[in-house]
Amino acid sequence: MQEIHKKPYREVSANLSWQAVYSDKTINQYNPDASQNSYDGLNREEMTAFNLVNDRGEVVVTVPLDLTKKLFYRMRVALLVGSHCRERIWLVGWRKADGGMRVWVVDSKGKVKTYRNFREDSQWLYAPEFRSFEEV
Amino acid sequence: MGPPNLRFKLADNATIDANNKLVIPAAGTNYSLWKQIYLYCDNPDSHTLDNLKFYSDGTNSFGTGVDLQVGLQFPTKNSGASTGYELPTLTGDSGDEMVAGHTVITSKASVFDYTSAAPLTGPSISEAGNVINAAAETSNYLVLQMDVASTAGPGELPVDETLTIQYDEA
Repeated sequence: MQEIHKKPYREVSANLSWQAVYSDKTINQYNPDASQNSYDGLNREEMTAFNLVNDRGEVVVTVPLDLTKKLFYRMRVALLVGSHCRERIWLVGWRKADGGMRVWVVDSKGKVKTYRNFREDSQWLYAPEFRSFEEV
Repeated sequence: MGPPNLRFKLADNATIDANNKLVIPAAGTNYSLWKQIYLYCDNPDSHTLDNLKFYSDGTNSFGTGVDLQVGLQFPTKNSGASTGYELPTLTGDSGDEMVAGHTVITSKASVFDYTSAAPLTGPSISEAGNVINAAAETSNYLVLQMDVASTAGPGELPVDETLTIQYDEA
């Protein structure tokens, strides 16, 4: 058994981070000291919006939220074995108890599309494994 | 950290070289030694990883008589144990076939059966909560083995193939 995972990957995607917006504050994924906040640990009850932000600080996607909408968010990562590349897309949206949903997908080039359903036959748009706090 | 290059051969090492080449049989099929690979988390950065998928481009460009198989079971590997790891064994000019030789693997399929639109779900995760969210946590093993039939031609394979392991992180 040999450790062969040490070679750094080549990033082929845009880089985004999230912002959780509240009436009185905004929590960024990255703190000034480069440490990261936990998506799982966010207070969802009082969150009014969830943003994806690019490296220039520009908001790429805003997901408006209220108590009827359950937020979900994933960075979806593809590791290409044999080419040392890593491709990433971002999936963010909400679901409601009545079956309504909206999902925004930011592809590896930063292009944004929005959908009303997941697609299980898609490389990127299949449903995530929802966590307990994301369940409707 | 990045994913590795893999070279299927008749030696149990991760070296990318032209030694220990596979042997084309006069009849039937020969096998490489199987490889067991896994995802390893250096630093979770407060994130949780799950929902692993595995796929190829769906087209076998290795040429006639050559295929790459993936085991459909995922031997146990986690931050505390490598109990699913089994050394590949060699008999004559062939590695031992994974379903016959690996105690966890009971079925297999060509990696080219799995595409981005219809991936293999896995490898599974045997860490707490079936997620990866701490340094040194891993996925279970994915077992790969190359087949070479008597119909294969001699020489280097015409292309490299790229395999993809995909996961969710948040």
